[in-house]
Amino acid sequence: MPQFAEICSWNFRNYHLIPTAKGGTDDEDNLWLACRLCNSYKGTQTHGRDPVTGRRIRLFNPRHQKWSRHFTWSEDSAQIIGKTICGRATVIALQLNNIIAVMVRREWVAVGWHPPKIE
Amino acid sequence: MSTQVTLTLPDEVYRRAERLAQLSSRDVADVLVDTIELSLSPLGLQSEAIKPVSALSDEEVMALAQLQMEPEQDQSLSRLLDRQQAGTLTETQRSELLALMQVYEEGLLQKAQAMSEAVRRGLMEPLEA
Ligand SMILES: [Zn+2]
Repeated sequence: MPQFAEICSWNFRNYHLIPTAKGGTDDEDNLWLACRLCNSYKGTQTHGRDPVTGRRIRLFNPRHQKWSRHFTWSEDSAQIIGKTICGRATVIALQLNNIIAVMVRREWVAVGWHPPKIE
Repeated sequence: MSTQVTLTLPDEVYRRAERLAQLSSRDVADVLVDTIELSLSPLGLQSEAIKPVSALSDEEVMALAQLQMEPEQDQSLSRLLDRQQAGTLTETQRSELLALMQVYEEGLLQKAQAMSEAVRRGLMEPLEA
């Protein structure tokens, strides 16, 4: 099974890019080590704003929340759509549909590696 | 310096650009220039020409598909991202991080292209997602 980054479902199996958490604790910040794109966009943010309701909310936490409750794929599977206040705020805060991510996902869709089946 | 191009946009995209133009009292063309500029900003300007993956030999495609960051760059990137998380980046480190993220992103994209080209050519098995 391919291994996916928990938020943007980045396919890491062939990337060998998961930084080994060196004695990291279970605190929230460590969850973001999974993907460097998300990681770099996240910076020090812990909360984001939902563009629909304007509400500020804690960003999605893959350890305690279910991906499919908060996100879904666009029709062409290249973009992540937020379904909830938290999902929408996270898509924007982490720029989950940044140009690089979208172009890479398109390559994977073309060869059937994407979207991943995740819970 | 600038270059003129003619674009064909899906209606939906054009409508969104038009809406943004109205909101900001600007030309649709100006809004599009800004949008393109901003979304392309993560990419740097590398001088060496990049061959399309379709023009690469099987060996070159496989080499690119297995591309990894230099270990040293890889470690610096991790360290800088950690510091960014902790909010302790200096200005110098911030530009260093930006430069490394460019290398990382360009590599990611080239690698994805090479991987899908390798699958198309039958050099790699398609993964079961
Ligand atoms: Zn990610």
